[in-house]
Amino acid sequence: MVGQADTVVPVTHLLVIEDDDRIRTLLIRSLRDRGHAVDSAATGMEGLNRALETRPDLVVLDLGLPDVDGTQVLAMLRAVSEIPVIIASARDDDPSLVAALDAGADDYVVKPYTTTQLEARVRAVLRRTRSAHGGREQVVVGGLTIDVRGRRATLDGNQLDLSPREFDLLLHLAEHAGDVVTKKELLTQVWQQPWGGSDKTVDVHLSWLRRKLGETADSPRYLTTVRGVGVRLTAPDGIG
Amino acid sequence: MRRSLIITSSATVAMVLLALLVPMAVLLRSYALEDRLSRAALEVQATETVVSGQSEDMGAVSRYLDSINRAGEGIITTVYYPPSPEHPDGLVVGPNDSPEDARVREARRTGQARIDDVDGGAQFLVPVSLGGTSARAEDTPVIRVDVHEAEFPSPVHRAWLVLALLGLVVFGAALVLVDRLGRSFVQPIRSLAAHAQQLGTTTHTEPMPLSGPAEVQELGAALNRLVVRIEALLERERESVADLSHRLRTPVTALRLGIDQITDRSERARLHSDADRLQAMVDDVVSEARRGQREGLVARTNGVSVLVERSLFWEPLAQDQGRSYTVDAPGAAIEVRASAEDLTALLDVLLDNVFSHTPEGTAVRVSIAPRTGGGLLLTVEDHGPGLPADIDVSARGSSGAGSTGLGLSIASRTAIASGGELELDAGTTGGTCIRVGLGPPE
Repeated sequence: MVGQADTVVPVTHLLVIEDDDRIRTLLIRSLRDRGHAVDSAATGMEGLNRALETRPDLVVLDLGLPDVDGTQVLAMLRAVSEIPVIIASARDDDPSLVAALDAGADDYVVKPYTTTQLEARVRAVLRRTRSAHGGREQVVVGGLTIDVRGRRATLDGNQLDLSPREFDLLLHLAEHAGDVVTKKELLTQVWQQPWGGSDKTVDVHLSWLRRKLGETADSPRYLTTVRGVGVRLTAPDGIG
Repeated sequence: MRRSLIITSSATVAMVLLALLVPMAVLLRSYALEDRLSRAALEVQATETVVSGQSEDMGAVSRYLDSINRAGEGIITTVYYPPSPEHPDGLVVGPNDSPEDARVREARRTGQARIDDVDGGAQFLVPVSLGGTSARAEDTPVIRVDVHEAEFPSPVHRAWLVLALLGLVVFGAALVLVDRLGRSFVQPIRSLAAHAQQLGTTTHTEPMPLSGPAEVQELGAALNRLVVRIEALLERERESVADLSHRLRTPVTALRLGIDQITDRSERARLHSDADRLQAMVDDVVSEARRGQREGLVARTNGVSVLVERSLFWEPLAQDQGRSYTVDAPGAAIEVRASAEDLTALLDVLLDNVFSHTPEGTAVRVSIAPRTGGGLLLTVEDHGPGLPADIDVSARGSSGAGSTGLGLSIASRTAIASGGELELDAGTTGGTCIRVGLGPPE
């Protein structure tokens, strides 16, 4: 097994529906190397049958399938099952993304992705779905409450006016509260752009987030910059 | 076009009317004169009869002349009697009291009637033979009939007035007709031009309803066919770009997943870094191929509002870093030939460079101003250490500070595509000054 995954991940049964032989083979190998049980299908109908037969924990679905479009496979799957689905596609245009999310996808990752990135998405989706099933749909850090499904956040009871990107950023930091999160990780997980993205893109969004949380870089409360490493979200002293 | 048509038609109609009405007016005048001359000839004959028949009764001749001169309408008849013992200086009977002149004497002497053109008309001189044995040329009375041009107002003048009014009516009617005709040409052409103008500003263009002259309808139909073809081409391009995106990104995904399999950590990191650059270029190719989708046929954006809004987006980071951050912009909108998305990306590249390559606390100034020749001039200036002097903004793929090296070349391409340019310069305070000219919409 490649010693890349620093996080211990419980064994998860994944179904990869991908028509490209090379990607499918590499994905199966790398996910298995990381300790997951991986099943696969090269066509939409075959994938649908396997999903219903084997009941995986999560499905990784490509949209450009040879027999049926991935969005239709997703719609058919949603009609009979609530298995979490991550779309993994080369289509990065808004209509495709919106159509997939509207059809019931839990997340969307744009090609090209790395195994690490996909695995992080799998973890996040499973965490959310398991929390939802367990009745936990909120992430709370001190006076900060994040409604994951409703995509709303409040600070000391007051609703924050956040852009979609700021919400994702805050949610990721809150899910890793207390940990220093690197800008590279934020680019990968929040922007889905581990390459070519700029740290300054993260910085400017963090500045906006600070402003909306009512703090500054000089007088931080929730967001603390660890110079040269990343950023950490923690509850201020005396709260939470 | 409408004005030219009216001017040309006015000139033509005016020339035609002049060519018709002027000869007609001259003819009318000639006919009137001839009519008067004919009547004068009749009066001469009648007067000759009266004068020869009443050679002794001057009173009868005088009464007769009074009666015909009253109804003369520009014809005055006078009789010149030669000198006699009762009238040694001769006798003039009639309204014309001027003494006989050389022509009268000449007519009397020769016994020949004559017609002379005189000022304002004609003059008849007819010697009257009294008959008998005593008849001598010297004793012959001479009838003088003066035919004058009609005085204003006369039937000729009234006829001329009618002709002039008729000409004006015809001229006015012709102008109205030409204007209507011009409008029937111009209106469909204007609609066609407006339709052509708004092509590309919407994602789908309804076919233009055809109206107007056959040629304009033909042109409209051709334009509608062209629009259908362009939309089909754009749709094909969209599909092609989606396919391109898929074809380029799928092998890169395989490459990345393959790199993940490499156990050597440093080798894996190096290959991922190479793949990063490859991916940035693939994204650039896909983004460029999608330019048509972003911009449509005609790129047009209010550059001031987009750039000001994006400049203000970076302000919190400047505050967090203790930078003086100034944004100067005109109040009025300035349209440029670029999409809002490309303008945003352009400013992000410039400000990202400043924030990445200058120490915290360095002042930044963004200014937007109208550009000579249209469009706007965006200037991003900092007080930092400055960029290398030999940097080539159009170079692709050169890497600096861990970036893919595409930023400035993408910004430069946006500027050039808009009809502008990107220039690097030393700032006035020793830092870097980047000036981006963005051209106006076509």
